[in-house]
Amino acid sequence: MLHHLLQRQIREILGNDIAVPENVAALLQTVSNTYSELHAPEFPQPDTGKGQHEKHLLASQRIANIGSWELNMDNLEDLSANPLYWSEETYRIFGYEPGEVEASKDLFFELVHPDEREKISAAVSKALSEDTFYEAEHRLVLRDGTEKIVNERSEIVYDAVIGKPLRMIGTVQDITAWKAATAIELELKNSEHKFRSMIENSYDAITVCDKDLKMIFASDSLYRVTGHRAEETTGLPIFGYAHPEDRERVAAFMKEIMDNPGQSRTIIYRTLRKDGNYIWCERISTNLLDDPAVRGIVSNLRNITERKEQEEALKASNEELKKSNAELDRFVYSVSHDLRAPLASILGLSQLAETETTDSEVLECLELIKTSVKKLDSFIQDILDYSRNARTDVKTESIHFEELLHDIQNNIKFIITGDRKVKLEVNVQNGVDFHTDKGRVSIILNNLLSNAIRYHNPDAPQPYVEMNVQLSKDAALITVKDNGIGISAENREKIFEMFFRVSSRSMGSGLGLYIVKETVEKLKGKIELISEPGKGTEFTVVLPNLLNK
Amino acid sequence: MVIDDSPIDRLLVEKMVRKAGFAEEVISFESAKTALNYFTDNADVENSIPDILFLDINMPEMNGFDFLDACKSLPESVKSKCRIIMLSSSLHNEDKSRALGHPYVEGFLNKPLTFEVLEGLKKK
Repeated sequence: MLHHLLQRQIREILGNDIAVPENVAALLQTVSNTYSELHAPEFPQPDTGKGQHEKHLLASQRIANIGSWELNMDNLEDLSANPLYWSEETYRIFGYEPGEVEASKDLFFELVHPDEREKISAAVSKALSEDTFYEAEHRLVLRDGTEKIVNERSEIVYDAVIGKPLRMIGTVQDITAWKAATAIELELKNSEHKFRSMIENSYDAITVCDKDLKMIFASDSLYRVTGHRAEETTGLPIFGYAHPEDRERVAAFMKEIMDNPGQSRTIIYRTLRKDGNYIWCERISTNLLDDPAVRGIVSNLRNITERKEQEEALKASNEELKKSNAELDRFVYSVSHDLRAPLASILGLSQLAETETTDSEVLECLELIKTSVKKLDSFIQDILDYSRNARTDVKTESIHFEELLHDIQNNIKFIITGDRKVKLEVNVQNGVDFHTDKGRVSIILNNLLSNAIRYHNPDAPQPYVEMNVQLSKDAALITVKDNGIGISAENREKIFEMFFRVSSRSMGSGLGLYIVKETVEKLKGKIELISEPGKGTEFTVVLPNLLNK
Repeated sequence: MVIDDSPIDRLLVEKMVRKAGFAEEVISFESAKTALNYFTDNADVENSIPDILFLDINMPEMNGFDFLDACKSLPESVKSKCRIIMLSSSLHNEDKSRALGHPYVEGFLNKPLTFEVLEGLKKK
């Protein structure tokens, strides 16, 4: 330590470095010690009587929250051994009554926050060895656990003659409150900056108007939306640029806003841009006239012209689609009728012709004509069912399954089953108000029943079809079970495909089960099947009750 | 009586009705309008109002439903005497339910007319 100081003194005096041997330094140390004893400085003692001047100093320390301290540096080898003085305010800052304990370097380091002890210790050593002005900001933990933030400054006082360090004097300032205040201020500043930048950089324009709907603030982004500079709109009515056709709606909107403080409302209207073009915009306004922080009506203004145009285009194409759907439906209706009418005539005529002859060959031909015509007829029916299911909306009504099944049984009794009679058993468990689309349910049941009858097993001792309908307030569970020819595992998925037919002997169009599946899905239901070739098939359909939906 | 714009279908009904011994006499009209005129003109003529009428739906000018609406203005004697059965090739549920929902309509049949159906009607 002394060796270093000596080196510095020599440099200052001579202007260049001279190596000082260790023994010379030791000699000088002895001289220095003797000198210090002779010129011991006046060391202030905390308990000695205070003069007026000192009283002033202590008072001002208290007011400024600054304490002072002084460390005698007689013993440079072991600084802790030197007497240390703390001012009254220093004691208070350190959480003690003045003079309550003996001031010491060790006590001070005990008070320094554990995380910062090393840092402070290093800084003090550095200040001493390099003879620099020392300043540090760190935390203290007082004996009652409270934390403080202090700012410390100190410097070394040297003897004017030989440059020997005499004492270290320093101040300690409690900056806890100041720190907290600064942090809040900084946070405020940051958040204000953040909000301002959000407003200015927002895609939407943000405006505030007074109770007379005159503009008092507009964000810079207004320029992007309307082409008007924020400053040129100040004092102007906010709806001054609204399209004449929209003014009435706008006026009603503002009345609504004024009548409902604190609530937000949205309006879509046209406004004139500075370039003379109208744009569609969406304004969301909130009446904050009662809010002391705002005292205005805050609006968010967004250019939605593009969205509006897309909406219009979508609406137009939707209308177009609806129209063409309706046209197609009418077309299918006429075509199915016009195709079917001559078929019905052919059937009728064949039937009549049968009564006019006993010639077995003619009768056979007539029977074949009827079979072909019926096949064509059911194909038309399938196409009609498919088209209607795909194009018409679901129309719900209360369903009476018995009635519906009675009609269906009448229809399917004409299915040609050869010599064998298929026993049909229908059980309906009723008592629930079940709603769904009657036409669609009829399509499903018709197809499932006629399939079951058509594909009965001619070798079975008693071909039968058993249908069960169970209704609950949530759903209808419909099962159609037969002991028919069954469906092989590989075909179980395919049977729901369009135009799939198991074999060329299949009598249908290949549309039946496809339509059933599509129709079930349209009614938000599910269809499943279990089947074993040669044993039979069971279809299960679950349809949700669409009551109140 | 039969009202149908298709000559084949008129012929079919006439022939089948006679063959089945369903009625002694069949009169047919190719349009609903002429049939309506016939009813209006012959309302009071004895034995001129048929017991049963097979009415087609899809016909030009006045269709089956228009005819039913026009029947409202006919005298009660006509309306109560004549049973109306719709005979159509329409596969539309709407047509069927509309027909069956009409107060003057007794039944809805899909073409072609069969001997079984005629037998059934005879029993009533």
